[in-house]
Amino acid sequence: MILNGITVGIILILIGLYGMIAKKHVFKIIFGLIIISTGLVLFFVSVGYVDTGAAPIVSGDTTYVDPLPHTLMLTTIVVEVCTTTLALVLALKIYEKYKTLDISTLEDL
Amino acid sequence: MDIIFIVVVPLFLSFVVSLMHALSRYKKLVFFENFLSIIGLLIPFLILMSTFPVISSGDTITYNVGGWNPFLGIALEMDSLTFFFSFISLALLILIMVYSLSRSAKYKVLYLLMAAGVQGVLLTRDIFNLYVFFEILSVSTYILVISEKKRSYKASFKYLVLGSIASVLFLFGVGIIYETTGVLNIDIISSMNTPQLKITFLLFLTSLGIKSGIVPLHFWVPDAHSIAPPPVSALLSGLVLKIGIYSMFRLFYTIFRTNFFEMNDVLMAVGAITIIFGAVLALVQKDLKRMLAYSSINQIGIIFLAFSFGTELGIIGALYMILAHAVAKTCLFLCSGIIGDLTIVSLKSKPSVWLPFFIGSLSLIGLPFTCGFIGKYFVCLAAMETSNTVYAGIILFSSIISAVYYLRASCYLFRIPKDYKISYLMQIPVYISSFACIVLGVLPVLIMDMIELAAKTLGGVI
Amino acid sequence: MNILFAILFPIIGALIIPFTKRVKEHVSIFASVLSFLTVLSVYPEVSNNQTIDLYIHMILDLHIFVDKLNFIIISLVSFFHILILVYSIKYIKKDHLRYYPLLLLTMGFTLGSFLSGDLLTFYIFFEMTTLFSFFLIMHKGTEKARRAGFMYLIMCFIGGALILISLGSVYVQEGNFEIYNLTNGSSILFILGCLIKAGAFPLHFWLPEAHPIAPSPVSALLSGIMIKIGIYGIARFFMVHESIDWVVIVAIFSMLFGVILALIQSDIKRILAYHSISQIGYMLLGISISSVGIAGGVFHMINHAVFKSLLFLCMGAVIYSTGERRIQRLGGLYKKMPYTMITCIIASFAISEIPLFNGFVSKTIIFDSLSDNFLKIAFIFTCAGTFASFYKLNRYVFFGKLPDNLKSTKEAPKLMLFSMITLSIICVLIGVFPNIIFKNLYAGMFDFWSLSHLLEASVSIILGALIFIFGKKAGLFDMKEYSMDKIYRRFTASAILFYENINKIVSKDLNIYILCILLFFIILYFL
Repeated sequence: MILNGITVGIILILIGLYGMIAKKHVFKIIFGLIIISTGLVLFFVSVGYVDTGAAPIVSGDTTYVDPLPHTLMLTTIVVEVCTTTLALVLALKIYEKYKTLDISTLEDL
Repeated sequence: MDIIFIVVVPLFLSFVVSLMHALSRYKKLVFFENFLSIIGLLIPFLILMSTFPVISSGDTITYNVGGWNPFLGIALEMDSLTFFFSFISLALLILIMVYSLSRSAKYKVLYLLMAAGVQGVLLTRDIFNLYVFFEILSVSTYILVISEKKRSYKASFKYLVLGSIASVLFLFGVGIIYETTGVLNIDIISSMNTPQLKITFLLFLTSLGIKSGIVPLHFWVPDAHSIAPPPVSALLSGLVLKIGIYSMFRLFYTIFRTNFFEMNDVLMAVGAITIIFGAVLALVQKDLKRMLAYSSINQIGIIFLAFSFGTELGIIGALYMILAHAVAKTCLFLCSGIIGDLTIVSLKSKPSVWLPFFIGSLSLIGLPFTCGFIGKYFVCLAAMETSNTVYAGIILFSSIISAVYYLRASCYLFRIPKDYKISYLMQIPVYISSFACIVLGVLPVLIMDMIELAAKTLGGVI
Repeated sequence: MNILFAILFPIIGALIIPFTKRVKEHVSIFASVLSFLTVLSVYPEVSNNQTIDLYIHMILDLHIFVDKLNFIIISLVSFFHILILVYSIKYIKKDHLRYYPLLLLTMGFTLGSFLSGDLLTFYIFFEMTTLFSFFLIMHKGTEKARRAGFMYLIMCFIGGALILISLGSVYVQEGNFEIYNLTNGSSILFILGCLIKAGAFPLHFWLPEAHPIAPSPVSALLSGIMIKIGIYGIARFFMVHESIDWVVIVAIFSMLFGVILALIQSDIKRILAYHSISQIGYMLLGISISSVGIAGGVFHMINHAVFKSLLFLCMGAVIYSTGERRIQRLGGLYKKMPYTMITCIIASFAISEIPLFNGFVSKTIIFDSLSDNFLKIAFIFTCAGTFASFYKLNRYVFFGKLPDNLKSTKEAPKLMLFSMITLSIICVLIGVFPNIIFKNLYAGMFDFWSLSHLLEASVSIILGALIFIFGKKAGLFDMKEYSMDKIYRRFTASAILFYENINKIVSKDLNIYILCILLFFIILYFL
């Protein structure tokens, strides 16, 4: 199966990168960032995935999914929320000061 | 006390200060805030110094968070390299805190948070944890960059976007490493002795390159440095860039050892480009702080070049350059906060400002009797030892260019303006840092043992 | 006393001066006298061919070293500094806070570079002298002074960088910094570095810009002492190495080139600056030929320090009294400034090889050590040119018609005259009794007054007179200033253009930056 979590994650990362390179709007750049991090979370979670593994609640001798990436991703999601919030606040402030969010008209951005 | 308190104390106190500020409307608490923010940096410093006897005898101190073994949990470790960086960073943090005591409570909260992030990055041996601390450090710096200037929001946004990309790349690299090895602890991965994928190495290189301002990735550096408030510029240049370099030291000499020595030549070329680019662009700047920012890029190039030689002499040179640059650049940025008008042709100041500025410039140029010289000297020796004399030439060439722009600025600065007052709290850090430039240049013995020990722990190629 | 104090006293003095009020010149003279006495106090130790070695252990070990040769040099250097400080009391009217500490620092580090016993020490002091003399050159603070200062700084730092690379390669191969370990490649770098500091021909162009623009006592220091650091380095090099052919060629070119350009100058200090280039040629010639030649070259280095400083001080006195620097606007000052005239003529005699003055004795030694006929002809021609150009200088400054605006000119102040007269006494003293110095430089005896030497001197004087007459007829002396300014300006313009082009790329949108990051990643992946 080629369309597993890892490939989808990488595709999402590439889409996000495309958005950041091609789009001129501040919000769209932030969206690109969000898409990249979502792709990354998907990638990480799929790394821990074990085929036919059960949820990692230990009760006997079955194979389990690796629990570590999931816990790590919780942290990452928190960090991403924080960064995104800050980016949105900054976008708001920039709009307040310059009345535009188009980076081709904003100098030095 | 355990080494984890080096991280925990500033982290905890930053929340205490923020709560105090939120709950009270009395002005009298300002003194208490100042006290707490100094204490929050002083306690880690004392804990650090208490580990000195162990570290200087060549041992390391390990602490496993929550008592988990390093396969699963997070390990903190203090060795000579960490000690060296931790010492510089805490000393600078205290100095700059003293300089900026008159600033708002928000500033101090973020500052302590950032200090915790810096110490966390230095201590941790878990790559994912490294990422988390990097984020703590970066997010607080993104906000610290904002000043009262209108343009600072743009600079901060630019820094945020580029910094986030760096974090994303870093995390991607961590994911690939976890997939291939199944562990996140640096020491365990490097003891497996398997070369990593080239793409992983490049992910880490690009990410840390953005954080430390290597040339094609440096775009946030000049804006953030020149627009941020002076103490924050000093921190950015003296510490934040260095933390990127520290992580390179930590990762490239352990996990990515084989990849690193395979790509040695390319990295040296990147370093050389960084050096020339920074030097030439600094030459033509009209604004003092922008000039200092480009000069930081130049110096980072020298450090990057020195440590990509991969020999022990190169590492010693790089570490000494890091020390010299941190001290001298801090001095210059703090001076720039005291000087009023920052256009280079209209600089004016009193002798009490231009003298430290002048000494700091001499150190960055790399003239004898200042600490910059010893760094430059070791780097040049390392270049010649690995028969890369061209790179020694490039370093010396860049130091001539920096002589031109620094001395030009100093010449303008020598004009004496009408009276203005400078508070003593702002002057003392400037004097201490400029004095350190000379002391470390005349008596490098003071710190040389520690640097040699640190270089040995990394272990260059023979 | 410990020789280290000779370096430390001026530096300590410089550190004290900012805290003193109104007695800055006294403090500085006191410090320099102390330093001079310290130097003299080691004489008993070096007099019987012993050497003093002193190691200062920092992480980089400095090696201070005294033998007879550099004892002579440093005693004269510290003595000159006293004289120049005395001269400066009247000459320098403002910015004392800047001038005296810088002069003292320059003095300390200059002494250090003459005292250095290995390459690293030499390099360290070399760089420091460059730095502080740079500020002295820019003392006036005009745009032109600043340009000249930066040209000087850049050139001398390039020289320093070359020396650093050469000493680094010695250290990497041998593990020490001894000068006899320089190999072929690194010795070229070392000599080039020293030649830049000395201002020899192809690398000279900073010298005629920097020396005239500085205040006259500083010009005297620069021409008299600072450029000798380079020569000293090369002399030490040739004392332990075989002679190298291209250095001789450089020497000959500097001699001829300097003197020809000096002939067509009209600014009195520029004339002297070009003569420094030509005299540097003599020293190089002597040093690079044989062991007698080295003694002659070093002797000439000392003599040149005496008379060139004296000439600059005289011209400084003229500028101080009249405010003019072009020979066309000067004239007839012999009535107004008799003492200045006499000292200036003594110095001119010394530089243009008249017997009984000190230039003669050292030049004869160099001339004697020459074997090649072509070299001899070039030598005589240069002497003739020197004579002609100093004939011109004295003729236009002190004789002829006094311009109307200079009617109220007064003689220079006594303190300035004191320095000048002391130096001119030294000129004559060495000229008449050359052995007081020469016996310290060379073990054998030398016949200074043989007939052939006198003949050579008279030939060059007659030739010089002919050149002057011819040159005056041909109008060679009224040519425009020759200058490197334009090239320098073009260089800065191109640097700014480069920046603007780069800035166009750099200050683009955020998208471009992200693209750059991606490209960096991809390019490195395929490398």
